[in-house]
Amino acid sequence: MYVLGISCYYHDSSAALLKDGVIVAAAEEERFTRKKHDASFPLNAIRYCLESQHITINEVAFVGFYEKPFLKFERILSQHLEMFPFSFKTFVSSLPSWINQKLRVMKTIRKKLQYQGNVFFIHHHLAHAASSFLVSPFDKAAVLTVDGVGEWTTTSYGLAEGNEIHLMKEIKFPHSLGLLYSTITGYLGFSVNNSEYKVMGLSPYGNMNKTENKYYHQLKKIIDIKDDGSYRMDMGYFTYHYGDKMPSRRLCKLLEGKIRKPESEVTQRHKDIAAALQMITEEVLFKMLKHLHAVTKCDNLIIGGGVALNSVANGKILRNTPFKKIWIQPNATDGGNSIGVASYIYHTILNHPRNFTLTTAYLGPSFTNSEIKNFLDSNKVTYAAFADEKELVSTTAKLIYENNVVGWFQGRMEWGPRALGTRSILSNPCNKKMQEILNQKVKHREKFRPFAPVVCEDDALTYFDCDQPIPEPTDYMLMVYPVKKEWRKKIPAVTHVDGSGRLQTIRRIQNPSYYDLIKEFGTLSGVPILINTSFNIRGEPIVCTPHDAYKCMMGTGIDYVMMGKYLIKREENPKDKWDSETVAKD
Amino acid sequence: MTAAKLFLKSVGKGMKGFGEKITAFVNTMLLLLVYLVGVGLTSFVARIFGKHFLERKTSKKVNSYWSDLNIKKQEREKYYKQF
Repeated sequence: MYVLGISCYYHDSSAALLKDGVIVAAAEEERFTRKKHDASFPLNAIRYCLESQHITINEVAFVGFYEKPFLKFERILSQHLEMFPFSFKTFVSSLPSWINQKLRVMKTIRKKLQYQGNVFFIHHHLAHAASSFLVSPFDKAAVLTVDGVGEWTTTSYGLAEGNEIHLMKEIKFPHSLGLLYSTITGYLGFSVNNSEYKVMGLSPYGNMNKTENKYYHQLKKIIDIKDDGSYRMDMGYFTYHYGDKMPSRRLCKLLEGKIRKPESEVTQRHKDIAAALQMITEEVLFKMLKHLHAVTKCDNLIIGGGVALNSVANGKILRNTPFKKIWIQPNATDGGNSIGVASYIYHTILNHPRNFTLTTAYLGPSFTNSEIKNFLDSNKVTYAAFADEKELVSTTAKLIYENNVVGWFQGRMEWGPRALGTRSILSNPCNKKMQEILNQKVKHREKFRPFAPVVCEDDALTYFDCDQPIPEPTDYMLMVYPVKKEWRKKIPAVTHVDGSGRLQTIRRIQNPSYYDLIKEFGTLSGVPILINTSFNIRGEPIVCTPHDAYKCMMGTGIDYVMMGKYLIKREENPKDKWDSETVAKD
Repeated sequence: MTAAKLFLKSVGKGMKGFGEKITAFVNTMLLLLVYLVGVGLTSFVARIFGKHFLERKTSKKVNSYWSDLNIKKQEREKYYKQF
């Protein structure tokens, strides 16, 4: 039995396909349309899911949507009623899309997919909870979901067991930890619903001492946090419940300055504000989790929602709360909810026992060597072919060791916002100039942003001070841990200013060639760690097809791309029409 | 001939742009009417009776802001509903 899950119309639309309870395909629409965080109906992602199983929509038994649109619309109307007449601008800009699109989900599914079967709708935060719990290794777990907003809920907790989830309590809009983080992200001049991770990366540059950081005390004035982690915000500091900008003038006054202009200088004040925000986020999360543990008396924890991507906070959870095990799915934001609704339909509504645990994020499209060769030949690309995987691995390791920047395009594309070793750019972490080289050649990132390391799971404890046993979310780059002091100077390119690293651990069973490559690099350099950053240019989604990968290489300074069994050297190919740098933006 | 085609093309483009602006203007006027009459009147009446649509206030008196949600497995028919 096939079940299709759909998530769309807010940000990061996606589709996921279950076959008898097993996730067989999942992808975000942005990878196909090449529009970052594309929110449109995920027709391309659905097409991919169906084609990957060689089926048509007629063979899909059920379709599920990741939230209740009418309930969400009720909240939107409530905002306008409460905030009249200040909400006029957003009323005019948002109402047409609700009338024409967001309230017509059923009609769209029928029309665009030619689907005549049943469509289920589940609550947004239930989809978050299901997207993590129902594919987790736990039979029983406490559940916390925290994001910007779903229908009304912004934070919820509950208990899940077997194939059922009970969400007990909630915090309702407009009070939202996710929207607080987004507001400060906007205030600091970064794009909302996109660059929250930049604020997280900026925070260690600020003063992380609660007594000394004055912005911590200022921000505490805008949020009332109770002992059980529940909170409400003073809405006078925000405008997101009626306006198209998030911080109010009062917030600017409180933080002693105007909204930072994008690309302008990041000052110590900005860094201290980012640090204050991160400290408050962690404070709320840890209080909530302690309360959740007291209520559920369960040692296993599941987290869902956009705030679950705060890997700095995630890495501290097991050390600061009574929980003993943690699991987060690689795509914990709204995009991941397509898996949530599909799993909930199959396991909970249809009452099938759970039979699947998500152990890799490789759920997207792949391309055979013959498809890659066809692309290369038809575009007159100069390339070399490897006889076997061993040769490919040893050559790549040597190129990385020689400080080349290498694109690694192998197998199925990753599910979620992180490149995890099939659409990655890899380079040498031992070279202290590599961060600068990568920024100069490809990424053009802000200087304060660190690059992430990837290490084989069996080597991780040698180099990183991880929780033990190493939590599985580390496989998806969802946990930040300290780099052990003796190694910090040896891997400077992946050690952040506070001595931490947002590592990815990899097990051979997940991705043998990637694992072998890291080990081979270790043989050459003495350190089995690589820099792993996403294969894209700034402002574009991660590459999906050979065309995207080749275009990305030719428009940037990536030296080589390993595409299937083929090695492509940038210098051997003409740039001309493939200049992707011209479209780079935030 | 080419110049005439180009002229007609640019006229067509201009007309299309003008049409889009008219549509946007009419839409805004209609939405303004809906906003003032529908939203405005309801909001006005609600305020007279002290009704709030969003709970915005914090309180030092309460010990917790958690409220009951109680979402759990329901009958299948409930999942067909969009609310």
